[in-house]
Amino acid sequence: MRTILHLDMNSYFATAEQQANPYLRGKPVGIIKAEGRGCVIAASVEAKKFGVKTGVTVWDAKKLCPQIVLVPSDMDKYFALTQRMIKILADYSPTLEVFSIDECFVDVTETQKLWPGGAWQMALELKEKIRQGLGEWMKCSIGISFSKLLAKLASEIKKPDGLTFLTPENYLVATENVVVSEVCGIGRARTTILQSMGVTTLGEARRLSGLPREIGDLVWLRVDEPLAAVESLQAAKSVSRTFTTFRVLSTKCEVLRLVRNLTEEACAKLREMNMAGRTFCLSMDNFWTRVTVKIPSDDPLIIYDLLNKEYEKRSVAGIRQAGVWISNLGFKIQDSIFNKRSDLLRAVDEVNRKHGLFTMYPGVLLGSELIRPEVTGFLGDKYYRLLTKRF
Amino acid sequence: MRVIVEFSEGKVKPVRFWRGMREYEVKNVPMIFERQDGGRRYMCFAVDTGGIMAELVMDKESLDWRMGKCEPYYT
Repeated sequence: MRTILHLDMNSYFATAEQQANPYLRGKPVGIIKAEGRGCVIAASVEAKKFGVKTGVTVWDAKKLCPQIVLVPSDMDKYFALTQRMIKILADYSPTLEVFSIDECFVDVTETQKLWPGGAWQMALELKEKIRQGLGEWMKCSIGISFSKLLAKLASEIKKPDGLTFLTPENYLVATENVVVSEVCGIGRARTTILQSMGVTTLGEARRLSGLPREIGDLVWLRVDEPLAAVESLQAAKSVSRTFTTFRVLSTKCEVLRLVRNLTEEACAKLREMNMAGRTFCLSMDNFWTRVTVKIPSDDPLIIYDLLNKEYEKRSVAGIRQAGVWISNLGFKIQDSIFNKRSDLLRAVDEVNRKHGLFTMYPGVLLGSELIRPEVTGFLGDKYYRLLTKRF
Repeated sequence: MRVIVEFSEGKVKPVRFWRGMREYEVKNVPMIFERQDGGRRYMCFAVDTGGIMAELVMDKESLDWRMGKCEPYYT
């Protein structure tokens, strides 16, 4: 039987800010994406006690907790801490899966034998190492069990700073009162199905008969997936960039500038991943279009021209949100020898890589707000981030 | 920007810095991390001076120092 350890950093972004600024410790802290943004993307343990959750608006957060301190996010800081966390975990087992920016699965089946107290002692030592390596305020919850699903659930049972062991003997009893939506794999749709049957906890769900097999397996916690180690990661299936503006874009010119900027962003990411796409999608508040071409491209000018043509057919203005998606991706094997633009784009990328972001960018974007690359906590681009040794 | 640093055990740690005419003593360094801008790498030190929280940024190539962020205590 395998032994899987799941480590989850508690209120990661907010705790990291409290670690960097000791005067925020013990205070309710809400992380916002940037100054002036309207949504809390992470809340500290203290803020959560007031009911402030991820995704609430700043307006609501202030209503729930008037003394909340709002801090703009600093992804460089969080990634630096994640790198340190991965380095520490790698000392405990060679088989680990980075699940997100603050979560990791570690297969300790063999390595736990090196500790006299087994996985339990290993986890206690790991907690101490995390505190030493990341900072005294950084806390993590650890769950240990015989499958990934159970290890993740175990780490969520006791928060913050918890350590929970779920064994084959106790796991069904220990998870009786767990809310169904907390199980990884039971999302909004499945929760709605279960709620319509009058079920909120796993214990109640287990008493039902005739549940669909996929939901039944999750309810009885029978799902057991292997760890997605770095070597087995899948390449990205799509690349996108979305943006919500601070004010309504009322002219066509402003809208198109934003679309161009988003296209440039998405294509730069594609080129960094050495990929190209065939399907391009543009989505705005009240507009949606999709174009598929035969030859894959990573050239922002080609993609923008295609999207622009579609936009011109029924142009809209007065928008606040826009997104560009590129899918049908494949690795770029060979360019046409007559295509000199790819050399130009590579040269621009090289200049920006060496001298910093936006050292060179299209003149059409001059004078407009330049959107910086998107970084989120989910790490949907794990393949590129981990396999290309960025960590 | 002028910064006095301490080198020990292969690590660098700011101990005193000047901002304008004013001198600040670093009381605590709660976090050290790295930022990257293009090919340049910067070592960032979140420092507590007892009056302000500041982020001192050291260019790893030129060893130049600058102040990244500077904020008073949240009360």
